[in-house]
Amino acid sequence: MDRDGIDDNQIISRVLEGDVDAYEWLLNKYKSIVLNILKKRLPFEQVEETAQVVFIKAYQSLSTYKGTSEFKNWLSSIAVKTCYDFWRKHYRNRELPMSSLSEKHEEWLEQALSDQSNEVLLEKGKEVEAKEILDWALNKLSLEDKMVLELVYLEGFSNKEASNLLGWSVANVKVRSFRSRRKLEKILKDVYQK
Amino acid sequence: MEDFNDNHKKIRKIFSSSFREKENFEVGESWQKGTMKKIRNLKPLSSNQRLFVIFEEMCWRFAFAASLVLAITFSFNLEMETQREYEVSQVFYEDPFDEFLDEPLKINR
Repeated sequence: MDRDGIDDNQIISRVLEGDVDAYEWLLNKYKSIVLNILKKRLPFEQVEETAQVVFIKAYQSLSTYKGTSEFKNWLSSIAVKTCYDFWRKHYRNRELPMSSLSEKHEEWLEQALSDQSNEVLLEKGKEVEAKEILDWALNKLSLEDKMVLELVYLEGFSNKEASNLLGWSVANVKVRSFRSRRKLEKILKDVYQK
Repeated sequence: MEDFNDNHKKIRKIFSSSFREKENFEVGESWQKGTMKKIRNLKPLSSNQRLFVIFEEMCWRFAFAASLVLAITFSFNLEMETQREYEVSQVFYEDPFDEFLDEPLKINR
């Protein structure tokens, strides 16, 4: 139920009865959630267009929404799957930020790890070098490994939540998340043990 | 190994923070208008579509049971058919002329 006393399900029923304009209410309410998912996973210039695709897909499959889970979760799942579809088409031709890390990155990582408090580590994560090293490491993984790591390892979703978002089985998410985490650890270990 | 695990916890903190901190992304009003324009150009939804989805779900729910019944019926029919053919050929081989053909053709020997 919204602050204005409007329920998502009421709006969905109206849209299903042919009131297309009512969909704008859902679009307005959930656009920031969708954009938040997309901006982390897609190149900057692709976010707007893909967000449109997500809302069009959601509209077209609105009749399949059962109302058993929150609309937000259902829409998030469409957003994650759309990112996955996007990368399935473009992953081979993706633009790699760097082929290898520079000395500057290695030094930064070494410095970041030297006895830092929790707050300092979180602040370090906001620096450009953190983004560059993370992108570099993630791009060394397969698309599926990258998707599952982003959800479970970086965003802290449970295996069940990740399986709902990706549309995979929980067992598949568990196995893949374990293996991809090991791969990431190895990639990073090689950097800071050089 | 302990050092590696300790470092890894720190790395996870840094990267989680980095991943969540990706630059803010705002869309303008034109984006929303453009999206709604595309949606309005699509066919309006109707409650019949929901009924169709429910019907489809029901169909899938019973698909396994239906296939099982079909398989059992098929194997039963197949069994009956072979049995019948076997019985006919058995009659023919055991008594090819005397009873099998004489009677229907009204041949008196």
